[in-house]
Amino acid sequence: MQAVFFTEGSLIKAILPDAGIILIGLLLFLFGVVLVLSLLLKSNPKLFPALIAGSVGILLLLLSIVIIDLSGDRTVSVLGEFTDLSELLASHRYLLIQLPFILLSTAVVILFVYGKNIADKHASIYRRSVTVSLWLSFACVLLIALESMI
Amino acid sequence: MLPRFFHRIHESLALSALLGGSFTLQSAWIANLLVHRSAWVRDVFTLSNEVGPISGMYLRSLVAYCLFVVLFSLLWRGKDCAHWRERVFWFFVISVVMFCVMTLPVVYQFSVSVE
Repeated sequence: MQAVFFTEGSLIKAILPDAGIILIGLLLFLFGVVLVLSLLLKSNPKLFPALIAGSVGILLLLLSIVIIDLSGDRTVSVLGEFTDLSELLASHRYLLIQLPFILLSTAVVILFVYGKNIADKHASIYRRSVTVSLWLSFACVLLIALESMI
Repeated sequence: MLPRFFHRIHESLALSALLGGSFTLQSAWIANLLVHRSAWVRDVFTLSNEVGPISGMYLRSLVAYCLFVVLFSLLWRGKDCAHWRERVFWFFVISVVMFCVMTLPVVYQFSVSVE
């Protein structure tokens, strides 16, 4: 019987040759959904469960990507002598990745607390916080992707 | 228990999440600066030799966020915190900007040597 997970030559390895690329594709897809939903939140507050689900999905995908990245055979140097620009940007990426985690967690808690009432007038600051958090998280992920190309 | 939770809006929890996130970001750039400047702090933060000091910094951020949210929730529990909204939001925005600026390698590596 063929192995399904984790082993060399397993079924999942044959179907998914590069898990990282698939996770990033899913991440960008979820960001697309969540950012559109965040713009519709004021006019249609009933969308909040989808927004929470999307944000939690993004958090889990980001966590998976970080775990895959850190499990590679490398030491992340956040100090010391940097020999080239690529190494310098790698340390910046590992610091910057904390930002989407904190922003998305904050957005999830606010959405969980306010629910349908997020469209109310008194919740305008919280709605703005959620929108800012989601868009900044997306900008961070894009910046990290751009830096990884250098 | 959950239906009782949704019976009313727990603004203190939402505000705590916002302020907790802000303080976590502030403490994150300070931790990064200390890791960069002090070998002792770097050793404390190195939980895994394979990953380096970033392992401790990630754990520190997670613990700090949970701790700040719980702390501020307890502090504001049952109180009217409407007048804090605007101030906390702008502190949150400033914290995000400060984190972005202070984690730039050219900023945290900056040093002046006197000869």
